[in-house]
Amino acid sequence: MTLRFHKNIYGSKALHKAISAYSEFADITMTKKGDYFLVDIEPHDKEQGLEVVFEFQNFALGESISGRFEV
Amino acid sequence: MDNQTAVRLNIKKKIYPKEVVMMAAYVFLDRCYVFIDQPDKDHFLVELRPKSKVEGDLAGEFENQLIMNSLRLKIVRDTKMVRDMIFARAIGQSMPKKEERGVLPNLPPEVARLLESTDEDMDYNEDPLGIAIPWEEKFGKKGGESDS
Repeated sequence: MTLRFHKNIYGSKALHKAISAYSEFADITMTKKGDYFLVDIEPHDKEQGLEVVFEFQNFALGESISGRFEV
Repeated sequence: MDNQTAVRLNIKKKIYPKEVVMMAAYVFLDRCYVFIDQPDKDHFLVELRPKSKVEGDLAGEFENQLIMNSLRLKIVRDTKMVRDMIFARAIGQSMPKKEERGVLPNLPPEVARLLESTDEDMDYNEDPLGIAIPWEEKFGKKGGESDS
């Protein structure tokens, strides 16, 4: 599954942190294309796959926000 | 995880800037899966997918958060100069005045003299209290003494 994260909203450092945090739950790689970071994510547990993807997105967003603003 | 339908909001950047959208989104991270995209240069697209059964109107709540955070951002920007001045004054007033610095009771004379001296008087190579002198050199072992 490929996720697209817009560079104006999601930071590169935040995404790397998320990849590091979720590496034990999924195989994750990241590339860039235009205004987006493209993240390929393959959860190890197929039954909980969607949950892992959504939690990964939340983590990345949370890190992007707290990295930019003091919340 | 319940399969809840996602709520999507199309937000104009001109009305709610990125900081406001992100601060509003942060509030929902504990109970929703939140995804933000920028489909074009004038809009943000926010997708809220509840983690469990929805109670209430998610879209309405998010819109309320946008307004609250817009106000918060406005107040932060409008008061920045005043806050910086208050902070600088508070820090400045907590520093002892120059004439009060020498009035410190019960200090060894060499310490009091050091505190009174200014940065221009001091050279980092000087060691008036002998702190850099190794212990052995200062109190040197006598011949034949062991460590135990």
